[in-house]
Amino acid sequence: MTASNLTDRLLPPATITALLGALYLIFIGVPADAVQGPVQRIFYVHMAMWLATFSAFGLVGLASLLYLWRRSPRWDNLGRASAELGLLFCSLGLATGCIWARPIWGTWWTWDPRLTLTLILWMIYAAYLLLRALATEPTQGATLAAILGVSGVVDLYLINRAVYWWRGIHPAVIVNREGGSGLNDPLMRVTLLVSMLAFFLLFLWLLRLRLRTARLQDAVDDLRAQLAGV
Amino acid sequence: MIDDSHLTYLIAAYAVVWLGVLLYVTGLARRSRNLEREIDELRQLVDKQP
Repeated sequence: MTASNLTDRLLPPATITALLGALYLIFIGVPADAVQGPVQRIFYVHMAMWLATFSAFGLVGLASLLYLWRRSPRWDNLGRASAELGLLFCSLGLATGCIWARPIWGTWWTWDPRLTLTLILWMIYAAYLLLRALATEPTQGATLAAILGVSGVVDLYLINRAVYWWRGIHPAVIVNREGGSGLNDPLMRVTLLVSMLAFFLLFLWLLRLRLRTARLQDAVDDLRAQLAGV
Repeated sequence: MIDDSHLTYLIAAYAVVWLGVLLYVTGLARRSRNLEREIDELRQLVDKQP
């Protein structure tokens, strides 16, 4: 059995187990937050969305760099698949953030530096995918998208630093961070870690499925070229 | 500060996440099925070529 086959066999049960464990901890195991009440439990999934988003867009940046260097369609496929998943998790992260903000801040959205930079991040990778979809010349589209994919990583860094540099109202959830509200109960920290692990595994599983679709698309393109006598 | 109506927001947040993931997975499965069917059709055409 190859390492790839082993991953395909182990990843789905590991992801489902981790997700069920996270849901148990979030809704049953972890104590309620004394200040925010039930809405604080949104944090566990909200933070998990951002780990998946950062992993996905970070991978887009790496794959884009490798594509610009090697020009191998393999890296292009990886970048495109990862961008699609990054956009999914980023959209869900923004949505859960807005839903949390309404009862706590009294508004769905505010132009806080971190929120604004995150919206820009969403736009960068939406543009990346639009560029891929609309490009009439595939190689040119892949090159331009790769440049965009690399530049998006700068925004990832800015989002990470935003709570320190600009002092917006976005909370720093992780304990021991300057300005962080912290998760004081050890079980809260465990719950957050399990939830982040679960959604990271979900990201890896979906990435493998999306890459399989990319390989099928390549096979279709090859067969069409064969029929056209290219 | 704590309000039971906040439960609605909690349920909404998790519903959005699972609905989003479900829609994506459904779309991906449909794309894969369509591509597999297209590959079968194209292979038949390639095999028929002289």
